[in-house]
Amino acid sequence: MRNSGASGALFKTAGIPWPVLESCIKKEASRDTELNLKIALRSYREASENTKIVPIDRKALPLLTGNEALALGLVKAGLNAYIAYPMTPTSPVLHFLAAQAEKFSLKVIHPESEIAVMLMALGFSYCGDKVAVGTSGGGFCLMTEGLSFAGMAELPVVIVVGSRPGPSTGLPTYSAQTELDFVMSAGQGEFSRLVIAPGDAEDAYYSAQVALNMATKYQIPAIILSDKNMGEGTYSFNIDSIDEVEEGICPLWTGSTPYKRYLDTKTGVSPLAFPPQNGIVVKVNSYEHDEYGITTEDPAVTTKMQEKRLKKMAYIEKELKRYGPVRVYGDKKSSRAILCWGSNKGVCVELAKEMKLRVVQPLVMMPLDVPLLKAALKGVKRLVSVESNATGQLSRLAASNGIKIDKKILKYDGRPFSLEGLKEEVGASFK
Amino acid sequence: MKDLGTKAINTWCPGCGNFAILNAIKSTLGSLHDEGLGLENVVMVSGIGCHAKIVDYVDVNSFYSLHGRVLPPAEAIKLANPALTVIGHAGDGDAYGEGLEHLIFAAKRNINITMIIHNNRVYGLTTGQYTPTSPVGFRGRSTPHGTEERPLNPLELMLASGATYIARGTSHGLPLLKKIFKEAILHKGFSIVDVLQVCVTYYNMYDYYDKRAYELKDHDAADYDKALTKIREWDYNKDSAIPLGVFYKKEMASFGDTMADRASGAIPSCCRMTDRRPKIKEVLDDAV
Repeated sequence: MRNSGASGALFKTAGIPWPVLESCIKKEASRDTELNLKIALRSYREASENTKIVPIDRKALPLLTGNEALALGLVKAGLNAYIAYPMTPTSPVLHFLAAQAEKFSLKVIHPESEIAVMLMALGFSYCGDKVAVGTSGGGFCLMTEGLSFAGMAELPVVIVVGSRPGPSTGLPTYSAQTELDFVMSAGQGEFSRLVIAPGDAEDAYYSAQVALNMATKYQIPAIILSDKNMGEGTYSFNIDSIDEVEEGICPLWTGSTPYKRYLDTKTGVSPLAFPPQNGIVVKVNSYEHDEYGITTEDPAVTTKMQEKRLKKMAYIEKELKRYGPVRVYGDKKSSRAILCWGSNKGVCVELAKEMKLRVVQPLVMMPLDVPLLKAALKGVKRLVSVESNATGQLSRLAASNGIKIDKKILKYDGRPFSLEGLKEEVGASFK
Repeated sequence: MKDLGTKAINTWCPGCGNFAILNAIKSTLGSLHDEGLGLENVVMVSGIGCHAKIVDYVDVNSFYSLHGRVLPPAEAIKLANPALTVIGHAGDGDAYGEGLEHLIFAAKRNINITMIIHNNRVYGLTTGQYTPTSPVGFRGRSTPHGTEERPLNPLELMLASGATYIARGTSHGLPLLKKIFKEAILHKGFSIVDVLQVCVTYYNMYDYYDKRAYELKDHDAADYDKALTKIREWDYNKDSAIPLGVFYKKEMASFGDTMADRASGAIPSCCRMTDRRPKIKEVLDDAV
């Protein structure tokens, strides 16, 4: 009722005709519709018109949150199972997929902890299901032993990590970009992984497909790094503007025996078989293992298998080029540029239009395509980075790859950058 | 019946109680095979510890998991493909210590899998520390002056948590072990078998168990209260008689019963294409 009152005033202030609100309320207010309409109309009449929003002459687009778009991207790429323990800001992915489970024949499970979540995911993966999990930084802490296991056992899995301010419980319902370092290095040992950081709903739909495809194709863990602003932000969503991503599948074992789950190949990717398969056994192992999946401590086999798992990375990096791992927006010729990532894309691109700046957004953070990033920054005389963390995690990554950042604009109060606030800071940086 | 052994070299100590479990499980699988179970349908899951090596020694599908993490993948494998027969192996360290929450939840779900606990009441692989089922005063390398905490009675906990098949055996009692394993695997619901398995190197209890263990006779396993009484007869601490056999058995609904079965013979999704665009369009149309 209070919302209807507020809506009435808002619609009038914005100069939107009454019938538009009337149809919205009839659609959304399932209880006390007549009363809500009365309240809205009263407040509509009381308020005064301050501006006139002109209707746009084009087809209405669906409104999706970043989380919903991300979930649909996973579904598009063939997701079968989603497992999560509730945690802001990715719980809506769990809710959305649970609601859509029947439509897409998904198994959606909410088990006892994030530890169980990650290990269950690996069980589904072992059986050949395309599987994803979702959490935030704290839950991801509990998932890291399973992440490392996925790396060792070469079990494909997608992990959605929605950032919020830490350390620890921090500001649970606000936003941050503090987990880049964490997701790139989490888990003991050295193994291949992918980290992709979408900036809005359309990016999320696209990135989720890339992540699940690459995880499946290369049998690796892939992390989608989002944040509260991107995940719970609502965007108009134009599916026709998003490049088609071909579904990634894994080579299927063709029947030569004995079956070697960890057959070493040129790319490091072994053909898969799944139980039940008559005449063969499928063994996966968290311990170092030979090609059959039997435990080993042999030095030569250990060396060979470590190299098998790591050599995938070169092929992953090469294949990722087709997905546009580094994005450039704004005035692409400008010598003044902003380097940003994730949900700051929106405000930076908007500001760039106004100030005639170039915006460079790495979409894939790991493996970082350094040559492509350097090419995107070619001709830039002054580079300002914009990040929602206190130490400049992308700035540090760029600097470690020989990219000079002239000024870091960092915000770590949990709130998003406003266009006006950022304009002031960026403006000062380019003086 | 084919030999279920592998080429892996067995590294258990001579006299280890795990050999009895290995023999019993191979013989049980052989017997189930003779009765028509295709062994390609069997998946064994293990944790980390001496017990875990068992998956290297049996030529069936296996998932060698992490310490304390046998149950989540075992449950997921069953949910991914209900046609599979899933047998989990865990030590007392990883089932009753680090992974206890998973054990309680698996029992609560009454998920249709079997857990065999290699309960030697000592950490063997890490060379002799107390576990959740070591008796009070146990002198291990982390408790040189003896433990001050009482052991868990894991079977009492399992009964309270909702497990529907609860049994105990020992590594000196192969016929009973085989009988229980088979019944546990065939039981529809969550089965737990606590095997008093002896670690000859760090906690040799062969004589202790041989003197006190007896097999349950005329026990009504369908009766919850009688099961509880029998489970409480020995609390893993006092020097009383130790009942062996089936304490509790009941048919109940299982988690996952309503989940869709995978079509038999279908290629799992990670090796085939799906086209969900039309259905995604329906979702988007609803969001306009």
